[in-house]
Amino acid sequence: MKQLFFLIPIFCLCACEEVIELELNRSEQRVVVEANLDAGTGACAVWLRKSGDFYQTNDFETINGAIIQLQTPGGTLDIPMYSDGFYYRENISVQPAEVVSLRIELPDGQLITSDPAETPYPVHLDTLILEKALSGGPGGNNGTEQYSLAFRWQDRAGSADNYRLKVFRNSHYESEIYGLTDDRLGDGEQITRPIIRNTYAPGDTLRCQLLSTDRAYYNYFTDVANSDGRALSSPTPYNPRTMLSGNVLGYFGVWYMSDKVVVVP
Amino acid sequence: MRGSAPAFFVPVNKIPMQHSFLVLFITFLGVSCVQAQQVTLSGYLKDAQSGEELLYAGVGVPAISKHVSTNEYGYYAISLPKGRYQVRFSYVGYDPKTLDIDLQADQRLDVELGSGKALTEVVVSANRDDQQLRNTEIGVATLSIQDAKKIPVLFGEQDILKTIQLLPGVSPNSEGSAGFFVRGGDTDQNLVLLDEAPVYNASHLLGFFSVFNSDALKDVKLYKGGIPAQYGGRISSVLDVRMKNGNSKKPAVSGGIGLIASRLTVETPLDAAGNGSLILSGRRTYADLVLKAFSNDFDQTTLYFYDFNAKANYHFGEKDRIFLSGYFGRDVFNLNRIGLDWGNTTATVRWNHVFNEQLFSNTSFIYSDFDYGFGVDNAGAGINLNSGIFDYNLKQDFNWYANPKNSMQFGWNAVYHQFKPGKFTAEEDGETNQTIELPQQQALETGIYLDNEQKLSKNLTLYYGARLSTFSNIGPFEVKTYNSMDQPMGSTNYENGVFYHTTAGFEPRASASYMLNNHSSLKAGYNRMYQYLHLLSNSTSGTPTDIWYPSTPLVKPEIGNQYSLGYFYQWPDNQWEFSVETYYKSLSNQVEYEDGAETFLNPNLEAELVFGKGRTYGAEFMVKKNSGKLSGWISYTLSASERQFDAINNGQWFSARQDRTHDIAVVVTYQLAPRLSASAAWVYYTGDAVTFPTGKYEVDGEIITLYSGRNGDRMPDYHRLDLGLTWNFKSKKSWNSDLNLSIYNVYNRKNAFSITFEESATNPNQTEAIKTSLFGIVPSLTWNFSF
Repeated sequence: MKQLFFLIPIFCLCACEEVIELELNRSEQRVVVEANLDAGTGACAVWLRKSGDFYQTNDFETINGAIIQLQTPGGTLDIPMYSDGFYYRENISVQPAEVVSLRIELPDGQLITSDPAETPYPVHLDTLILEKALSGGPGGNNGTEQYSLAFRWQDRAGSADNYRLKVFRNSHYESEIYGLTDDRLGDGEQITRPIIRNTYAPGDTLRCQLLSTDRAYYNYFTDVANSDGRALSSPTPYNPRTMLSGNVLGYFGVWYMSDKVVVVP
Repeated sequence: MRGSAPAFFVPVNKIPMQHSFLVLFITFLGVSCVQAQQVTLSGYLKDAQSGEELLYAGVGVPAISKHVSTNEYGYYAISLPKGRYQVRFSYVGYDPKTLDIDLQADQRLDVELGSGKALTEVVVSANRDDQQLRNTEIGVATLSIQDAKKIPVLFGEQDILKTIQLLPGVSPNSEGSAGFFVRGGDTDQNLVLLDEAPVYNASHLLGFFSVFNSDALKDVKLYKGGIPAQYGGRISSVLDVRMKNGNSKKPAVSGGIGLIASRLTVETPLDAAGNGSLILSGRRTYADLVLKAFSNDFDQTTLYFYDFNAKANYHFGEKDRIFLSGYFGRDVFNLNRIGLDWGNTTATVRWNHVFNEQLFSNTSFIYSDFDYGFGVDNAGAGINLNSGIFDYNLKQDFNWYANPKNSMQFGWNAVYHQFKPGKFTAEEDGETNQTIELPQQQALETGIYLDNEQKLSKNLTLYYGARLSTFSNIGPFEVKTYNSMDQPMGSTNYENGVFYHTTAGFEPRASASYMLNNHSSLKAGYNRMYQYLHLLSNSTSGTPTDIWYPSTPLVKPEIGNQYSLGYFYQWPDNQWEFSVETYYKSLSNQVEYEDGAETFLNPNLEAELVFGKGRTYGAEFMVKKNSGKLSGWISYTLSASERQFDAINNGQWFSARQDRTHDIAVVVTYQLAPRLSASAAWVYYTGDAVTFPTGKYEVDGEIITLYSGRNGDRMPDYHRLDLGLTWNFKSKKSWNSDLNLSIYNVYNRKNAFSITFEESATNPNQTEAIKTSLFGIVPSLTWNFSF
């Protein structure tokens, strides 16, 4: 539906948005897992938090004292707690196509397991393309000079590869950009994908990350992008499907990352 | 008109009840055919000025309480014992005509009606004179295009799809939308026909305007319930839109200039004898040009639609007539690097043949096409998506006016569907480097039907009939089976032309009308409908990118069973009328995407579908004043619409989005002075059933909303008042013009178009609900002319 908002100024120059106070039902707190294994650096980072009320601040309750284990072909590795709600371990060795999974035992005894994730193949971000943006509309220059951004890389032939594009503008992570794509339109080809939502101003420093991810991670973030209306059309809202058991929210993903930095001229 | 004959009925062993139905039908017919010697009066009823046939107009002999209607081509036939009769011809907005006729043999009589003072009367009519009391139609409304133009509308752009939303049981998809729900059904469950051709996407500009240019239309009939057997393929409603034939007496030009669109229509006779006519009508919006005048931000924006209607007809003698009609419309929408392009094309060739005074036939060949394209182009890389559906349809319908007590209709049709679910191409520096095309599907949909309207006594009239429909999937295609994890388990490949799966449906239809007295009647109706085409959409609002998908071995046809009961009262002077209709509709094999369905480039799309059922029920009240300086109506609908899917909402029943408990419309037109009329429309309905968050959490630096349950919340209630003023300039010779001022949303109600949930712009640590209102007060001015 958000796409239709493009039309608001077209149909009525006086269309408006306003903040309203809605009486919302409350749901029980649910466990939120955010677990990433960077196959390139061998670092595994896990956040354990709980969901909160809609109108509370974005400071979520953390979960300490959990026992987290990463199961790899080389054996089971403990992921110790590093700080409040954060668990971390380095020097983990996994290879492309190897299968890994996560096991979490919460302090209250609840057990959470992930579906097995197949480690993807590494990818290299070859080129960043900056092109002067056209005027008007979403992503347009709104009267100032702006540039659109595209990533270009070489896809690996013969494997089903999934990618996520991330952008940090002046050290600020643009978390609203999900940048999800796969190689079904270009297996083994050079792939170029634009960042559609945003444009960038001269002087902006852009750190661009290209992630090659396992399929479940890709599917999870596709759900996240769809469920909040950022896809082509907005579906009935729903909670993104997860690869984790135990009625929890969140994800476990394995990925390789390649990055480049560019300053918009 | 309804009628049928058994000759085309071919039994299929799989269908129970069918033989018994046929026997029953023939028995009824046989009993009623034993009559005294009859003669038939038949012909066309036409507009005196333009020669346009008048559809569904009344023809009656009041002295013996015999009444019939013209059919969808303006043809009537009334069988009577030999004798002298006063026959009354009437049509809404026209001066009725009563002729003294000595009927001693079959007689052909074409009658022309003139429009006089009645032009300022009715706006929307659910009847012609007292026909609604007498006939067996229940849940049917007919729209007068001419008079609907007086109702105030958004941007001054007259739109029949928005006018019908003011009728009981019909409500809009969303603010300003041409999409509509009928009796709690979904939008894809409405069969929209333009000169018999299905229109698969009846909206322009992402739903804000319909594809129907009112200047080119003659008549609109909406079947909410009691759908005759001649129609099939959708389970909720049928909207039958008929184009004008064109003026067969003299050349005529009409048009209008509005704020965002202009129209021009040209009509001309094809010969001096008035045997045929031609009409060409076009419309083009220029919203983007208006925007560019306001702001440089839209320099690179293209946003417009256009449509073009054409129709020609010619009489070849008294018995034969050929029609050619077509529609072509497209939307073009380019906003910076994103482009959308979609449109419908329809073409219809029809041949009317009068075998004799009692038997009328129409044979049609129909083509319909809907396609869309979506593209993104950035930094030399582009992605394009194309999809669509097209049909070839051959059909024959017969009206048989068998005797004074029975008028029958029968016929058949066969539609070849081709579904193109998607072709995707990736381009790099202008060259295509990869193409993926989801496999096309083909199907043959057929139907045979027969029905009969039988007058059992002076007060009791029955309608009964049935339709037998089939749907066959045709190769080439790879049929897959899936396991419980929605993963393909195996597949079977079918060669080109192989009918690899056939399903059939028996669709009985019946209704009855009982006249309680001269002013009131009771009616009851039942119909079963099968729907073999499904619109797959993961959007709450509907977009051009939704996919039409056929029934398959896995996707069963949707089935709707509707029961309705109505009471109708008409005041003695026919100025006022009241009706109340109740209905209950059960819906089987409803189709939706599961939560998080992968719809893009997915060759296993069927694995993403879930199936369920639905129920809708309600009561519709309507009080209407048909004539006089003040006319209009008040309608109120009390209803519910619910769905149940095992895979959604933990298997519990939930409200459909269009579950609007209360729906009210008040429509008034008032003749202030001989050349000045005013109109007003006020609407109110319960807010849509929606899903609001019940919490939130953080993932990857983004705040994600948490949901529980489906459609357990409500949008704010919707209401709005529109006003209109129409000034008719003094006529000069044949030149007529009027100026229409419409004010949409007079009291500037900020109705919620959507409610979204975002991080606060002022305090990123907080989340807030944002209400977006699409239209505030919107005045518009339109100048219409004709000569």
